[in-house]
Amino acid sequence: MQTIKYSIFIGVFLMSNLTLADNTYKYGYVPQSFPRDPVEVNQFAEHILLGQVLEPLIETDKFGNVVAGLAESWKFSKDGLSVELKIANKRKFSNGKELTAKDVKYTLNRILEKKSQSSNFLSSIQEVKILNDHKIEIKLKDPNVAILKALSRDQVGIVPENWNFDKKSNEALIGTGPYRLLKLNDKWHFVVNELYPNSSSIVIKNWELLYFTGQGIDIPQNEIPDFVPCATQAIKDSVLKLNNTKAFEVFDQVSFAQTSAWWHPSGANYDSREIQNRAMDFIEYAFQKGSEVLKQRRATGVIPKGVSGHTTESKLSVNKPKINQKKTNLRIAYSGSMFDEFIKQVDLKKIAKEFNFDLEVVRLEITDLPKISENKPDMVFGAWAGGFNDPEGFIALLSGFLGKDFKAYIGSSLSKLYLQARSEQDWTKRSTIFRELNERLRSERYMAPGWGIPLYVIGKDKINEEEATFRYTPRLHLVKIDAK
Amino acid sequence: MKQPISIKKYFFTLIAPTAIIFSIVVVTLLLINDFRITEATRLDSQKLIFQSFLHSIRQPLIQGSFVEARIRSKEMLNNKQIACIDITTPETNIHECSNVKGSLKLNLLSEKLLFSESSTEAFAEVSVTFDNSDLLKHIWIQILKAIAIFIALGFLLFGILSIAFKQVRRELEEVLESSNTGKSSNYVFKITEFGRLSERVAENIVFAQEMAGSKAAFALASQVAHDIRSPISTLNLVSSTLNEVSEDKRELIQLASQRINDIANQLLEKSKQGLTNSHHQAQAMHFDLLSPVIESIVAEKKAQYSGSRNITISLDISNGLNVIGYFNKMELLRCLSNIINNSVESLDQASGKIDIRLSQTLNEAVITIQDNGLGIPHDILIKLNEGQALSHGKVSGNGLGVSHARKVIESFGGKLHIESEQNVGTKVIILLKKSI
Repeated sequence: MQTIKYSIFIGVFLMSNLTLADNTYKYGYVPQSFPRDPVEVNQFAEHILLGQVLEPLIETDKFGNVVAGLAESWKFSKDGLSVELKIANKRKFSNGKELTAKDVKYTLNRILEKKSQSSNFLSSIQEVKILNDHKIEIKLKDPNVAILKALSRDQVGIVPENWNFDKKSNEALIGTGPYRLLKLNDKWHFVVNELYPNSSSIVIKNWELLYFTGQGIDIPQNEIPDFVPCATQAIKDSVLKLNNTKAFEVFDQVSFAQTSAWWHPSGANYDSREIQNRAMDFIEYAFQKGSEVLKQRRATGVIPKGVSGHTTESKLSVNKPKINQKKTNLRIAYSGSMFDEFIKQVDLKKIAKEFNFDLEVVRLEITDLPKISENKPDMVFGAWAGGFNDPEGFIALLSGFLGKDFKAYIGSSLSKLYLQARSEQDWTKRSTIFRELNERLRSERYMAPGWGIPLYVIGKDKINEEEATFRYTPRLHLVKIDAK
Repeated sequence: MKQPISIKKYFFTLIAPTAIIFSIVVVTLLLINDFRITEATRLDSQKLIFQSFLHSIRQPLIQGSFVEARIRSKEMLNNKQIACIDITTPETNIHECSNVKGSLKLNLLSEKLLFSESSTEAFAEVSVTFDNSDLLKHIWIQILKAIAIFIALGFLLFGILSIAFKQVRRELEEVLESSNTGKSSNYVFKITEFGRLSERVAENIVFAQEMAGSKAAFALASQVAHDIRSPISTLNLVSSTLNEVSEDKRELIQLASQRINDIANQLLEKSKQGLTNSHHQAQAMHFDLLSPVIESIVAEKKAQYSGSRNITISLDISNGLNVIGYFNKMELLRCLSNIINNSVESLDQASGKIDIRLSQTLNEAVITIQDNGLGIPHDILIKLNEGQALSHGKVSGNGLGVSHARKVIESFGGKLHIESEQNVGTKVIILLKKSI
């Protein structure tokens, strides 16, 4: 009898593995925090996963241009204060429920109410009204050129009405996207959503998600991924060490990710202009060193190069003070692993002493980013790729990062500039205003730009994805396998 | 007589207008073809411009940024080819036009912008009107330029040719005219070959005329010769039985009839040989005493003209009794007969005197026939000495006699020259090669 049980167990195990092995590819890499409630997602590595399961109202093509998503059409009011969206007919969630306007309203309100990074991007939304089963109206507080791009973020993917995130569920996310997030044999998989239009054309039916081994970016040594999009330099180096590098092909990916440092409102020295200037001089100096050591391009401002409103000047002259006995305490906090290598290679404490600081560096987990203010840092390091291809995509998220409303943080003069930029309808003027804001944020010592973070696409040589251009996140359902 | 061809008239009425019209038509067709190619290229480039504009206007429109869309439309109007841009969305209409004052050639391109590739719903319709009237203006200007240039070049060319070839044109006209009349003339040849050809043509015309005359004459002579032999035979027979006529007169009659018979035989012979160049017919010539020949013809002529008018024919051979000349007897007799007959005809109706003399120089025998007749006008005399066949005021002269005599004498290697003075008389001088 026991033998029979074992046989059955082994048979089932083998059968399930056979099922999995059939057209199953390994996706690298997934943060330990995933899956999470979409409204809480603030990591780039997480939200590109959301994009495979959830679909937003607005899509972007591979050039970053707005195209129809779940909203198949829309029209703006003449004053630009409202937009009426027509929801696609006959679309279904992976659980079989039909998509309606109610689901859209529920999703958007959910985000607005949470006060998260995502809610910052949608802060110009005043109200969401249902007009009929497949029509909604979004009312805005003020005209916002970037509102459609804000609605294209993966985190704003539509979920069913009354759905709530349950990590214990075997299908933690319910969406209308090309894949379902399913737990199979204690492993999370992306499995083709049969209710997705033209799902039969999706070549790879099953992706097994490979996780980082810890909270950092260490990868498992005994698992060879088939496809690793949006890999940083460190991840790339790790992957290429796993196996014969000839088995992989590596391509540069368009990247707007970069690092920066911000004078933080929760710090003890926040109100001291002298310390602020000296601290920002110290960080500009250290970041210049860091970009040289890490051999990365120095960033120029909060708006990265390639996005409308970026600045071109990367260097800022700094003044080293006369070294004196009295040192000021300076606390810097950061989350995630993006600065680990920088801190390892650049002796920050030594440089800090040259600027008359006693430095303390606090490292937090990436998931603790919303709690960074609790550590009362004078300065925080941040690394992000932005929300979308627009100046707003890099500024709107700052409020959550800084723990303070951004307009209040930057003061009345810059706030006026910011609001002017947000409402400007002439794109050239808008870009000029954002550029001025970008320059002044640095020159008035609110922030110091770090370095650009290059991203790569790594895949086994038969994997063929669409050319990585200005689309923000990859689309796994478009990945093909070469016949040769 | 045909009128000479007017080259100038021919050129202005036919060649020049035809060339001008033909060239204008060809140039116009080429320009029209060029216009079509230019237009097709222009339309293709405008399609590209339109697609490029659609690409630039799409995102502002789809994101509801109509201010930006209007700005981009206005900027697009900096392209002078674009007359109007119209954009229609559910929210607004954008209509931007440049200052176009009426246009003959418009190209309207229009497209609906869809929300996505799989969508059928449009968020905007964009129309761009291109103004191609500059192409029409351009082509008209090109045509007028071409016509003006062509006409200017035509006149310039004609002027140059007229000046340069004026002399040639004059000679061409003269050549053509002389070819029509059969006379040759001297030319300062600029078109040497044409001049030579013309001279040959003139000579051939003259020869053809002479041949035509000769042919007819030969035919007639042949007929006469044939017919005359019978009565001559009768005359010979009868004259031998005339006892009442003196011996010397019977001998004269026989000599004369014999000469007539010889002439007839020669004519028949010539007609059988065919009409080759009569100037170069083989002549039987030999050295012989001249005096008996001259005596015989003088005797004949005396007898011929003894009954009519008071004509004295004298002969002096005292200085030429033993002169041996190089000649053909029959031909020489004929020549002398014709010359004496001419002299007789030139005499006054009432009386006249013809002196015939045979003498010699160191190398030549000289026969002179001098009369005191009316003489020959100077201009005629010149032509006669040049060998032209003329008749001047003679009642029955055919003009061939002197010309024929000259040619005969020259065929002997001799010469014939005429001296004359009106109302005084004429002297014909025959020079023959002499046996030394």
